Amino acid sequence: MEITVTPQEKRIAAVIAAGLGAVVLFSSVLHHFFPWVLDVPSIAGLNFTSYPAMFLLDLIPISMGALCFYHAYRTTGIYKAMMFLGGSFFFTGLAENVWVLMGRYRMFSWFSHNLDNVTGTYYFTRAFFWWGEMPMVICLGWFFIAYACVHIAGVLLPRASLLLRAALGGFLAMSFDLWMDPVQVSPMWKSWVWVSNETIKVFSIPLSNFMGWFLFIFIFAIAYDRLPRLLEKHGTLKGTLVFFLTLLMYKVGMMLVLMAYGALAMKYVVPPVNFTLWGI
Amino acid sequence: MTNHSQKMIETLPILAFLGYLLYSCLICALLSGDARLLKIWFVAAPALIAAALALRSVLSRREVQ
Repeated sequence: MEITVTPQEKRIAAVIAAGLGAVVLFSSVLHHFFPWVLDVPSIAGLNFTSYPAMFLLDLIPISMGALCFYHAYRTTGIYKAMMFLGGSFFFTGLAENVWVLMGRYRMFSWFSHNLDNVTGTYYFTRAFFWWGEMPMVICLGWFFIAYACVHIAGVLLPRASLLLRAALGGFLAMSFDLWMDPVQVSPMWKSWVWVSNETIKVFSIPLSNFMGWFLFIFIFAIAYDRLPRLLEKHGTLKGTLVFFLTLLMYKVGMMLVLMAYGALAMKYVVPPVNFTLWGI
Repeated sequence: MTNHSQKMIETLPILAFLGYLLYSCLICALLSGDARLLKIWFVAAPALIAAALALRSVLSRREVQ
């Protein structure tokens, strides 16, 4: 099937790519060479923190991301592929950065005094390339896991409604993270560190993390599916801006939902609960 | 694009997902030396089964001349 991409779509794709590259370059320099600016926590004593090791570890998700991007490029064209990639970085990257920094600087009290005693959220430890205060490959991971899960849901349920496919995609990603998160926070890896005192945990990981996995992919799949209609209604440039604005609104709404959940859980779930197996 | 290469392209996201699951869950759990992290593999069973079924579905699609 021939994919038609207009010159304007190509230009927008190039601008998004350049924007992503610029943020990654700026963030990586800031993180590695000026860590005091954002009070980057020390990673002394952690494994695989030399620059070559971090670079090699980054290459693994980059390869997986490349496979998904190639699929998107061949089946939907460069513009839509870049919109999925850029949208994922914007949607999840900004939200996770806000989450990490709000935890680091204890900025939850404005929302509810139930959150006054929150000890923080989490922080990432190792990466060669950064996107703000989160590894670039984590954003890329969101991209290709969301892309793959929605693709798998589409293959398995080709005639199902969008809501059902988006829900299945979110559920599959959450199921994957239920195994990945405990492994990646184990003492050997410590790819990220939870400093949250959230009161409901699963495998010692805050429940909100798994809720986030489901919600992010569910909501993003719905927003992305509406992109063609936005383009039809507003044209390419305005449609693109409306798409990113919609993502921003969804993101703010989702973060408010998660904070409301956190405030209620801090108040009513006492003592804290941790659903574990074999002490994990 | 031939049907065969189209089919191969359709498998790429599934392979990427399975590959990353293999690395970030299984291999990292093995390297961690903590057997408990291997024992909880079943929590990812829905994702594994769905990916395997999707892969089979794509590969078994009939080629149209």
